[in-house]
Amino acid sequence: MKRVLVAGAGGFIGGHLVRRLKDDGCWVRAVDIEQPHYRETAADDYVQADLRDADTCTSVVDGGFDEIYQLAADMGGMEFISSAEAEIMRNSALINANLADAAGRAGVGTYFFSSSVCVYRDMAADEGVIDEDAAFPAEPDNEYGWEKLYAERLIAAHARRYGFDARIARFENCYGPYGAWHGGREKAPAALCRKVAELPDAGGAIEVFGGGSTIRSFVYVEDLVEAVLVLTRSDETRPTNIGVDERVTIKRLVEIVAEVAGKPVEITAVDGPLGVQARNFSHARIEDLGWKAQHALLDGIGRTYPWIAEQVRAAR
Amino acid sequence: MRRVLVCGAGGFIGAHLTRRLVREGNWVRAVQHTPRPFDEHEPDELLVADLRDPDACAKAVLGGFDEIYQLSADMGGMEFISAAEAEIMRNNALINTHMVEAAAEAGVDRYFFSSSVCVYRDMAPGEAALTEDDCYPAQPDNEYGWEKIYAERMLAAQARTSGFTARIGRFENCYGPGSAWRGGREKAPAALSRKVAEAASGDAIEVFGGGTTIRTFIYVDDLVDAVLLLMRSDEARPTNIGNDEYVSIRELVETTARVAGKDLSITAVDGPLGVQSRHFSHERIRALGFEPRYTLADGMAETYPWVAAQVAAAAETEGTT
Repeated sequence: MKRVLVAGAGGFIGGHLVRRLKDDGCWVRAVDIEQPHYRETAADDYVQADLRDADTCTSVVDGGFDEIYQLAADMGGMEFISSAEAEIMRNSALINANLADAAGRAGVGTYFFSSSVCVYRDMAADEGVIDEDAAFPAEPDNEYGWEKLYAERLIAAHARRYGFDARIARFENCYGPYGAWHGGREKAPAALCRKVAELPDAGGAIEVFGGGSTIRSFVYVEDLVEAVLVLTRSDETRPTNIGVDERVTIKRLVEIVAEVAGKPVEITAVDGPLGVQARNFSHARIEDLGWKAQHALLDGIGRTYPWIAEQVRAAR
Repeated sequence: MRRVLVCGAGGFIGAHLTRRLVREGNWVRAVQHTPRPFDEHEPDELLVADLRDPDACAKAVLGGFDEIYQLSADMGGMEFISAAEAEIMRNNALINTHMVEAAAEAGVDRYFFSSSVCVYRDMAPGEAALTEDDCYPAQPDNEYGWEKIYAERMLAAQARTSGFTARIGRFENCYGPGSAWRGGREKAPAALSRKVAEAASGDAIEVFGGGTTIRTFIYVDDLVDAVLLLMRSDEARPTNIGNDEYVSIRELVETTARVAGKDLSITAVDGPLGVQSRHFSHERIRALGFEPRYTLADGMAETYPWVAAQVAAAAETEGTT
């Protein structure tokens, strides 16, 4: 039986990944600084621990692991990334430096790292697709992206130093049930589901930063987790984007949420941090490994909105 | 009286800086990882600590400081940087992460960080001088440079958040008495001084790639002048610290041999070379009034005798010739 460690297992993607690895028949140790946020963990062993600390990293990797999935990070939506940049840079760098070192010393087999498409520069709306190699020369638009870039390189250096396999995925925006939906760390799909759920049944207006003209793509969490496993167990050693080709404006995303919710929704433009204007990434590398997304945005929002609406109701 | 903290005071530049700050009349706490192997720098307080540990950083800043000079880093010459990249990336990120946080919590007024021209991409010979802004988009040639970029940005982010003043000097190759001179962490002027000191007139000395790479070297007293000038200026942007005298490694060997009064030739050997050529703008630091006082010949005249003395002393104690 494969021994697997998931760091950041209390979070949204980490929680889904643990379930998928359990279905796969692995023995799973889950680590997170907090208890599971959204539902009970599926892990065999759940360790609440602060991975910024070097000794803690050494102790959680004790016993040896075939695979380590490193998803622990200080992160959130654009508003959080703008206001907490110094903390993000510090906390995530500490986790990545200490866990890669501990994993190397413990003789891990394969080390997966969840990077982000925040490593790429901003793009013009009419620009073509950019592939993974376009991350260099580097000009990320925010400090979260700089940290991911540094961590990618740090992990690659540790893989060379200790002789383990490193697999690096650059996640695009991911959504689904059992994720952050309020409090400032939620991403656009969850935030918009919440805002629509909070409207009366007759509908109304919701506030959207900049009116919703920015363009994004969103990958459903079960699709993303499948891609993580495919990549980790492949021979692809280069950083690999994980996302889908279905691109929408935030305005269109609001329409989809409204359709799922069955409410008429108007958009009020408000000032706020927007992040990059447009994103358009190549998925040729992950698709070459045989992966293909199974959920269109309408389908995924159909599985996400009811859960968030339930949380909104319960919070009231 | 200013309260000043120097991190990395056990190193070559840190020790020179500490001495200068003491001489200036400041109260100086010096933090270093290991006791200095060479001369003393006589700070008001000496703390031997490992700044990769957050508790050590908190202890270092106790009492609060007007100025913190953060020079502590895991570093060395090209051979070391190539071989120890994972350790460098981790150790330096830990030091910078924890020190910046500790400084912010202690309410530091000014924080100087010693970055490096390793943040720049490689250059073709004959290319126009790179300015500080040419660092972006970023493509450093080694992981040491990537760490410096990350540390620059982390410091700037914390300074914005906490409201202290950050100053970033991008050091070029620095040399002078008191530097590492053997063991793998020494830079070219000290390494070549050692080789020249060990050679007899008429010998050939081994140089990676035959010495065609182009570099500039700044004498340590000049660099310390520039650090103090930048720290107390209004220049908030990263600033190169170096001089405009460009030489090939071959010319450096020739200058050193002249100082030593030896007639030597060069044998090319394979080894890590680093970037082929370097050419940086110094307008930003010069605009603050900085002017180097030492030519390379002047500086090697101070440096070679010191390295030669270390070589002779080591030969005596280690029983080798």
